[in-house]
Amino acid sequence: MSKEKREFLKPGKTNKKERISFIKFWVNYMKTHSDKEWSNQQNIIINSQIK
Amino acid sequence: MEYNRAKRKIIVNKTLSNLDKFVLNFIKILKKHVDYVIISGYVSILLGRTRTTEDIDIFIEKISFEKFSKLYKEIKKNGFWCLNAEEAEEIFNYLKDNLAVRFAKKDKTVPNFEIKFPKNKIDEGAFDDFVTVILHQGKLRVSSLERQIAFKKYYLKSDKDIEDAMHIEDLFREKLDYNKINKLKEAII
Repeated sequence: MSKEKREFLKPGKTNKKERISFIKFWVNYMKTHSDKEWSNQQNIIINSQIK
Repeated sequence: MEYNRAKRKIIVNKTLSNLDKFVLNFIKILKKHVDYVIISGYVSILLGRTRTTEDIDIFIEKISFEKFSKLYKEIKKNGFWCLNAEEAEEIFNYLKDNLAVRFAKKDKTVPNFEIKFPKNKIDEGAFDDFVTVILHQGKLRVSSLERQIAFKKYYLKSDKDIEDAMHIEDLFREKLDYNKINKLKEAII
């Protein structure tokens, strides 16, 4: 059985670089997953603050 | 997510967040009375950015006091209040003075809608090249992706704004009009 090819997040050396690295990682996640999959994750953040 | 630049349409098959539902609800009222374009942070969030916001920025076309009064009456009827004033005339005067006014759900302060008139030709341009985001439960007019990127990256420039611009740029890289971004950049700086 072949393992699913997985992208990993490259840690940034500063907080700013880390945040940029995460944005790129997240955009790649969005591009490789359905709108429903990424939005369900995004909604955990948004719905926890806006009821 | 599918973006058709020629048709200025983005189809998003997302599960709506509470924020998306809140925006669709308000826009349903707004669009009956006035042309609008959603700008700034919420556009990035609508398109997947992993953050939230306390306000949704919206340009509305310049309208008469009579038209604004009807809009305000319906906003109030639907359970919203204005954070800046009670009287329609006072709120309208703020708008006329190119100041933003905010509306939130009764007894709440956030999230709120920050409404303003376009204050110059560049702002007015947002009405010429807006993009329609098509969701399962409705449509929203948002500022063009190029405009979003140019304003956030070269005018607003906070860390948050630069990250919002980066999100949109990375997501739509192959479909962006970079000449347009550069022209907007020259116009705003």
